[in-house]
Amino acid sequence: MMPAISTIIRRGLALWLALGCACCWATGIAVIVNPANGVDSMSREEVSHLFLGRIKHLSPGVTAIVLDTMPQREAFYQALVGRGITEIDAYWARLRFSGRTQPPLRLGDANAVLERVAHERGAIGYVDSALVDRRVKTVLRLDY
Amino acid sequence: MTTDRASPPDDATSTPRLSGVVWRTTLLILFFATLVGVLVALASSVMVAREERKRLQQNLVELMQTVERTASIAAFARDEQLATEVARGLLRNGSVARVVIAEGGRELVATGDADGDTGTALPVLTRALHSPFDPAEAVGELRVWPASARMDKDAGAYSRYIVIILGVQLITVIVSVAWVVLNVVTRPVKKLSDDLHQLKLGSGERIMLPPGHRGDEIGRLAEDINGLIVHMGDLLAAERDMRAQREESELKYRLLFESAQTGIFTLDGDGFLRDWNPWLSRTLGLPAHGEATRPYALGEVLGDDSSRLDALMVRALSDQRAATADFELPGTGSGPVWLHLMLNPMHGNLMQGIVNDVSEQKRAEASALAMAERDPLTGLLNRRGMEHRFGDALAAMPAGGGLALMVVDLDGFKQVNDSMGHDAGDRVLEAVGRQLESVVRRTDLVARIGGDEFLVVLCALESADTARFIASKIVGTLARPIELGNGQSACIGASVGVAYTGTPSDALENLMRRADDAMYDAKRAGKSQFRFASGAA
Repeated sequence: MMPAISTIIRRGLALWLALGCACCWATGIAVIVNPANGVDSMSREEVSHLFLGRIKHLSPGVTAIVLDTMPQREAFYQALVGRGITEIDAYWARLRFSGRTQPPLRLGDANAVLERVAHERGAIGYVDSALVDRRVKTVLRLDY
Repeated sequence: MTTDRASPPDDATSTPRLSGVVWRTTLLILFFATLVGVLVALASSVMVAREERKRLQQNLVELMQTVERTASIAAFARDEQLATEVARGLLRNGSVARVVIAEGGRELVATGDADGDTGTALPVLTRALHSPFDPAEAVGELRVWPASARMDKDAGAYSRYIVIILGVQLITVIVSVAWVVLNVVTRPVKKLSDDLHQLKLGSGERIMLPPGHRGDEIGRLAEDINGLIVHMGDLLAAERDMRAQREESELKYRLLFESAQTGIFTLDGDGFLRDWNPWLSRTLGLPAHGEATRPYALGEVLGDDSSRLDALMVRALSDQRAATADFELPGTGSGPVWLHLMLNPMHGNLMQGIVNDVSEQKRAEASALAMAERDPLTGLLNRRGMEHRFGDALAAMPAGGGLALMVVDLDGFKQVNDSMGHDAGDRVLEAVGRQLESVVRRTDLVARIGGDEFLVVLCALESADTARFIASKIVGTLARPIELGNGQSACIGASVGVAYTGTPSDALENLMRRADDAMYDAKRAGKSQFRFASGAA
């Protein structure tokens, strides 16, 4: 238990440090990208355009690899565009029919997403903001 | 004209004229119905086109609403594939000519062909596409070009459909109206007309009431016509009776006029005869009235030189009363003809005249007058006759000449009368009368003015010597015995007193007194001689 608590404290501190003067401790979802692609922050609109297929490049020349974190998926879309998951699925169902625009890649848990984002330059995903580590860069924070 | 009317009614000529009513009615109905039909068809095609356009637009708007969400998604995701799917889906609808889905400044898809569309230009329908996740965020535009040609075709088809329906309806209405007009109005009217046309007026015929029209206007028309026919028949009969009466009366007057033993004529204000009857023709030697070739003036025919007829006419016309006068016709064979003429004024400055032959009356009158002035025994003038004519004789005395009046008194007549009787005396007087007349000229006057006193007037003497000569001749003649028949003779003589005058103004009494005095002188001087009155010759 102790290491767990110490880990939480350490990570919390790290997050706090990472966000600098971040002013709230409330839980949220962090949109994360590979630190190598040079994007420091993104607007909510940019993020939604990326996750809903409107924008396909993260930055000039970098094709976006969009990742869904299954446990947070519903909360994420609710927070991002205010829609339920069925609506989002219906949306993708129509687009998937054309075959040209593909929905985000679904990954089972936050670690897989962190792993993928840490290793791929064009990857973008979201995780519980508490899980963000140094391998990735948070470009947008969404509160519940 | 008259013969046309009199000709018997002809079905062949009357039928087309009456059918003309049917034709005309039908043609008029056809004309107006067609007019209305064409107008309605025109109006409806315009309206159909407008409605069709509206309907099309409505359809398209609904169609666009249907695909809006998908189109929004395609635009949002910039997915040409999906956009193409949407556009093709829309194009599958015939009302859509061209579809463009634009995203930002870029056309995701543009399909269909609006350029080849030659129909009525319709506005392009545009619908803004919003983000499926943020209604405030515009992500693109859906533009749809309506298929005008298709719409025009549909509208045309609709219009044709309406025109066909209208045409069928029109024909049905025309046929029905024509049939109704023909059977309800025209046929009965035509039958009435035919019946009336063939009806012989005055024959007691009536026209038949068209069946089924007893209570309506056509029935009333038939009844009224029958009433008129009856009325006309009565009028005709009355007029026929009246005409017969008039003809009879005219004939009566004509006969009266033609055969009257009286002249009947009409005279105008200028004295010309307008009309006259055969009696007048015969009496005045005129042609029969109908055969006169020139106007005849009554004055000229009557030989009226002294304008007495004019005066008579003026009197009749100005007094407005009958005026009469007698006219003597100039010499015809047997004695003078006297006409009694009566003029009655009539209206219009005309006069009706009646002429009677009064010659007989005139003659009787004249002889009565003559009788009154004659001595019945000797046939000589009596004193009255002498007085009547003396004025004329005095007036006829030539200038420078004279007139002698002789009083002849018989000597010894009383003795003859006493001794031989009154008959002998009468015969003596007759003989003396004859002898006196034989001595004087025809123009001289001889009268018996008393029992045995005679008067002789010698007219127009050149001198007193002629009187002297005649006086001596009288004395000489009467001195001879007078044969009385039966071997008897009477011897008488005469004392004659002569008064001679050259003054036309001398009075008869004056002359007679002087002649009387001279006669007594002769008697005193021994009878059977003559004496001239003193102061003369």
